[in-house]
Amino acid sequence: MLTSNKISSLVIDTLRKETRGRNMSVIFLYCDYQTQKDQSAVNMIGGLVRQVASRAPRIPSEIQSAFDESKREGSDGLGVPDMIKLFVQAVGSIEVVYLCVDAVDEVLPQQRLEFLRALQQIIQEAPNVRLFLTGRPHIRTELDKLLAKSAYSIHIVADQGDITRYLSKKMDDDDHQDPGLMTEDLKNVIMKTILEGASEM
Amino acid sequence: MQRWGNRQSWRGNDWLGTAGDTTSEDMSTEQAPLFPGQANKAPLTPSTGHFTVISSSHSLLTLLAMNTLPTGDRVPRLHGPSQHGMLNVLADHRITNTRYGDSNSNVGNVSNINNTTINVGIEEESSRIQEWLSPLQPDKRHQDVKNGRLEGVGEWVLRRCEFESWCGSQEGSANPALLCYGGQGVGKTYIRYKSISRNNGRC
Repeated sequence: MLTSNKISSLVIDTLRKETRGRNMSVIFLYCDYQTQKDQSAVNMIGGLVRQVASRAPRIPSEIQSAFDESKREGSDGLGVPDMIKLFVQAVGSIEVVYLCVDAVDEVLPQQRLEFLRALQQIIQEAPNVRLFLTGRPHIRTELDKLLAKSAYSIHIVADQGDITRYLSKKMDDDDHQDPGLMTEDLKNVIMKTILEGASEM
Repeated sequence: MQRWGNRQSWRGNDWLGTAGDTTSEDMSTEQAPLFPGQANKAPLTPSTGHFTVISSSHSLLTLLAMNTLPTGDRVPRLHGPSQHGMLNVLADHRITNTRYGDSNSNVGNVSNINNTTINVGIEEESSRIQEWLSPLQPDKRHQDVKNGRLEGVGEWVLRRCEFESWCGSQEGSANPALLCYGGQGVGKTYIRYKSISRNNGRC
């Protein structure tokens, strides 16, 4: 119901609306255990750079140069430090960059550490970057070690309003499927019982 | 951008400059709708609004085809729209001179055509660079997640003072990061569990 990606997408859309028409940008990444093979640290930072490129009216010159350079014979692909540098340079002229990363716990541990260090470096080197990050509680220690000094934190838990909205939707769906099977009284009892249960959490 | 058919074959080192020249035979193996010798078929897609060429110039189309294909060289760019029928062609000399003869005569042919609009190359190059940067496409994922969202759910987060401080903060005046913990055991599974355990307790 209230998975972290729902919160992330809500935050992303809200920020996009707020920043429209201003010299600000919203860059994001959804991590997903199903795509772990593509989720190397370099691909993830590259994914952020990719979005900077796609949002800009024309490809930022630093990115263009790196691409041209890569086509030269014998040139290696970009590494994580190159990607970080590219990102910091490419967002340099943007007033505020909101960088949202969802479900960082779904990245394989070794890649995750490298990725988190890269994010840490980005917020240190680019003061115009604001980082929003979600993860399951079991990686809190890891995140705190790297980012807590410069971070606010919120614990995500469904509130009564969320539960009410969710249940109403579910019961409406059921009603459409089998009209008349559930009386209003029954709906109220279900709602009350579950909300009471939730308030004891 | 799938306008040129099978883009997969562009992936990998074959277009990053290690494969040397791209010949017209290479082009014909692409599913690209535009390649030399097919000028009169005009396989262009006006509906995209980016590529409209009214031309019978074989040479021009050859040049355009080169522009859409990866080569080991710097990819030539075409800027449009053209003014007074004159093409603004920034062509790679090697392509125009060694393969297609006199580039000036090619451009000369084209300069007689009015209302020629070319806006190809920039967008193609842009998507090529994006693919080179990363295979991840977060925009797609965002749309999926967004479609599954229930209106109003989670909006309390936006009203939390931590969120407001984080997003409204001036440079250097507040914490640059906002960490959200959760996502496990806060959803429907948890509620179901709670309800069941309550009932069990009563029984």
